[in-house]
Amino acid sequence: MINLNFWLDMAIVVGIYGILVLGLNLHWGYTGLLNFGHVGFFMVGAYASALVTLAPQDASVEVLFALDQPIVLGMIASIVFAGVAGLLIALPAIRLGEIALALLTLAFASLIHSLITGEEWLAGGTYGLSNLQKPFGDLIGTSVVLPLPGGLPSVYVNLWSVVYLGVVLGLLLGTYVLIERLGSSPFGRVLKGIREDEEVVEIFGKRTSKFKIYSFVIGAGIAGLSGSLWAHYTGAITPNAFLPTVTFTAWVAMILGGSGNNRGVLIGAFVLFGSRTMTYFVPDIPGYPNLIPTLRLVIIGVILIALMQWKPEGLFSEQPPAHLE
Amino acid sequence: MVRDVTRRRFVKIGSAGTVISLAGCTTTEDPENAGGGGGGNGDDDTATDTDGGNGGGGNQDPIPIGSLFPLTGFWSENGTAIRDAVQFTVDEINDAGGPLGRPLEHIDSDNEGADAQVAVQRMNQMVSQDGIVGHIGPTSGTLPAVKNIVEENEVVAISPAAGTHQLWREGPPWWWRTVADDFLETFAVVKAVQDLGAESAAIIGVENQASKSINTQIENIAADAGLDITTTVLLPTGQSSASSTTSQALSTEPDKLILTCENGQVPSILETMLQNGYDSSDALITSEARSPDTFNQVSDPQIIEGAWSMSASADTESEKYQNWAERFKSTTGVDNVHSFAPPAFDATNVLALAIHAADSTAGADIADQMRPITNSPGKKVSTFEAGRDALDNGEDINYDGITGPINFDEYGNVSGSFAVYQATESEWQVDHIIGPQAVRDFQDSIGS
Repeated sequence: MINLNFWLDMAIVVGIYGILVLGLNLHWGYTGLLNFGHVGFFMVGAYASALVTLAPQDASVEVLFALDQPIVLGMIASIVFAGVAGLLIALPAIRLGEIALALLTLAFASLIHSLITGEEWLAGGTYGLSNLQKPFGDLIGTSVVLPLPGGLPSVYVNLWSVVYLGVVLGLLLGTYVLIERLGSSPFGRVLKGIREDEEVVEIFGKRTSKFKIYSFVIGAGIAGLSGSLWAHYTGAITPNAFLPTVTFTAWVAMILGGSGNNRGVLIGAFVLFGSRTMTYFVPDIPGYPNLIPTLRLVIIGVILIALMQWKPEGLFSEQPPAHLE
Repeated sequence: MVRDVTRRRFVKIGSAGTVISLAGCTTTEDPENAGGGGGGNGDDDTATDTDGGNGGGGNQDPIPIGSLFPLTGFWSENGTAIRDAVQFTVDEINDAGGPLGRPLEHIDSDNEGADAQVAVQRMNQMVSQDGIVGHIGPTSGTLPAVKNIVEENEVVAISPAAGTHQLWREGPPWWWRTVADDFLETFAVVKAVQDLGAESAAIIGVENQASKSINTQIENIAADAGLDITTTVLLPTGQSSASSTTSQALSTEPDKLILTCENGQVPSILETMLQNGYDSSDALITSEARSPDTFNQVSDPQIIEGAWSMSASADTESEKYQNWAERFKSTTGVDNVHSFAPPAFDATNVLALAIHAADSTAGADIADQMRPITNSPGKKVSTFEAGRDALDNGEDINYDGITGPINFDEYGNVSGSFAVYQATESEWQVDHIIGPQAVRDFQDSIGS
C-alpha cells in the first residue's frame, strides 16, 4: 500500500503559494509595481481569518477579538483586511514612484511582523494563535484506501487532505481565471501599458495612479486569501511563519516561471517547491551531516542564476496578445 | 473573452475533480487495520503495528523516530548539537538491540533557522512520508506551528529544548519535555544574583512576549527574596545596538544587570557596561540571551571575559554525568558537551523505553507508558539497555536521566538543574550547579 499523504501536503502548499504568487504577478508581472513586502499581506490575511474564525475559549491568551465565525467569513475577512492594508500603502506610495513603493512595502511587512510579535493582546504575540478551525474538520484522521487496477499496489490518503486540496485548487483556479480575465480586459491592457511605459498611457488620458491602486489592492487581497488558506491548513500560526523568505520565495517562483504569464508563475511555484522538496530525499553524506541541508538553498540559487543566464524571461515568457502577433 | 480559460475547459476540469473525489470514496477504512501503517518511505510498512511481544516477533523493520531542529541558519549551533546527541543515543540503543528487538531509525529534519513554514512542511513529511512514531523536539520557536500536526497524528513528542513556560499548556499525552521550564530558571536567576553578593539588579529585556513574561516573573520573585530591581528596560527586537538603553539601566546604579534580551544584543550591552565603569562580571546572561556566538560577536575577548550566564543543564559535577560525558566525547569526538545534549539523550532513551514497555509502536500505547517508566518506584536505570533488560524481566523501571530524575508532572514537565557559567576569553565554563533541591529550598525560603 502506497502512502500519498506527503504528496498531498506538498500539493496543498504549492497551491497556496500558487495563489500568493498570482497576487504578486498582478503587481509586478502585469503592472510593474515593486512589492518587496508581499509576506505582509499574506500575514494580515492569515491573522484576519484566524481571529474571525477562532472561538474565544480556544485562544490561549486574550486577543483583540475572536469571533467564532465560519471559515468562509474568515476567508472573506482575509481578502478585505489585506486589501485595505494594500490600499493604505498604495495611496501615499503609488504617486511617489516605484522605489518609494518598494521601500514602503518592505517597511510594512517588517512593521506588521514586529507589531504582531510584540503585542500579545493583538493576536497572541510570539507564540501566535493555535486551535484554529479547519474546514471539514470531522474528516481529520479518516483515511481512504484506493485500490488500483492491473495488480498495482493500492494507495491510501487522508480524506481531509484530499478535501482541503480540492478547496485550495478550486480557489487557485478561481484566482487564475480572475486574473486571466482581468489581464485580457481593457483594465488589464492599461495595467500592462503602465508596466511598459506609464507616460504613454497617461497621454491616452488614463489616470494611471488609479489603475495602479486597483491592481495593488486586488493583488494584496489575493495574498490575504492565500494567508487564510495557510492558517486553516496548519491550524496554528506564529509570526515566524511570515518571514521575508516568503516574499523571496514568491519572487523566485514568479521569475522562474516567467513574470506576466500566470501559467508560467504557477509552474515556477511547482518547480521551485518540487526541486526544494526533492533535496530532502538526498541522503546525508556520512561524516558531513550538515552538507546537504546547507547546499539546499545553494542548489536553488544556482538554478536561478543559470536561468537568469540562459533564459532571463523565465521558463515561460509572457506571450504577446494574438492581435499583435 | 478569455483565450486560455473557456467555460468548456472550466467544466472539464471541474468534472475531472468530481470524478477523482468520488473515486476516493470507493473504499473507506482505517489503513492500520488494513495492514498498512503510518507511512514509511511510501510503500508497505507496519510502523504503527503491535508486535507480538518484546523481542520483535520476527518484525525487524526499523522504527522511525524524528527530530526537527534548525540545522542551518539561526540557532543551528544548538540544533546540530541536539541532532548529534540524538544520533549518539540512537546508535547506543541500536547497539543494545533496540526497542522490541528492532533498530531505531533517526530521521533528522532541518527547519532552516526555526522557520515555522519550513517546520510545518518538514513535520508533515516526517509524519506522512517517513511514518515516525515518536519525535524528539522541537524548539519553542516552532512548537506552536507543528502542534496540530503532532496531535492529529498522535505522535509522542519529547522536547529537550523547548523551555518556554507559556507553551506548556497542553502537555500529555502528546507533549513532554526533558528540559526544565523557564519558570523554574527565574528562581535560579534570582538566587544566583544574590549568591554573587548583589542587593540590587536591573533587567534588560526585549520587546517580546517571552522576555516580558520572564521579566515579570523575576521582578515578583526578587520582591519576595529582597532583591531590589532598580529598573526593567526593553530593547526593540532585532536591534543589536543597546548602548542608550543600557546606559539608562545603569543610571539606576544596580549591583548587577540581568539580561533576558536577544543574544545579538549582548555584545553592545557588555561594551556599554565597561564604558560606564562596570565590569563584565556584573552581568548575568539568562538562557534567553546566552549563546556561544557571543564570543565571536565581541570586538575584544576581554569584553566578555568574566561575564556570568545560566542555562538549564545536567548536574555536571555528578559521577553519572562525568561517565556519560566521557563516553559521549570519545564516541562523537566533541570537546565540549552542549547543554542540550544531556536532555536530548534522556528524551531519546525515554522514547525508546516507552516503545519497548508499550510492546507497540502506536502513539497512544507509547504515551500510556511515559509515566510508568519514569515516575514509578521501580528499578533505577540510566541507559536503554538496563531499562530494556529490567522490563524484559518483568520489573518496573524508573528512568533516572543524565539531566537528573525524570519525574513528569501533570503537564509533562521535569524539574532540573541549572548551570551557572563564567566566561573565559573563548567559552563558557561551568562555575557551579544549582540543582532541583536547591531551587526548591530557595522557593521555600522566600515563601513562593
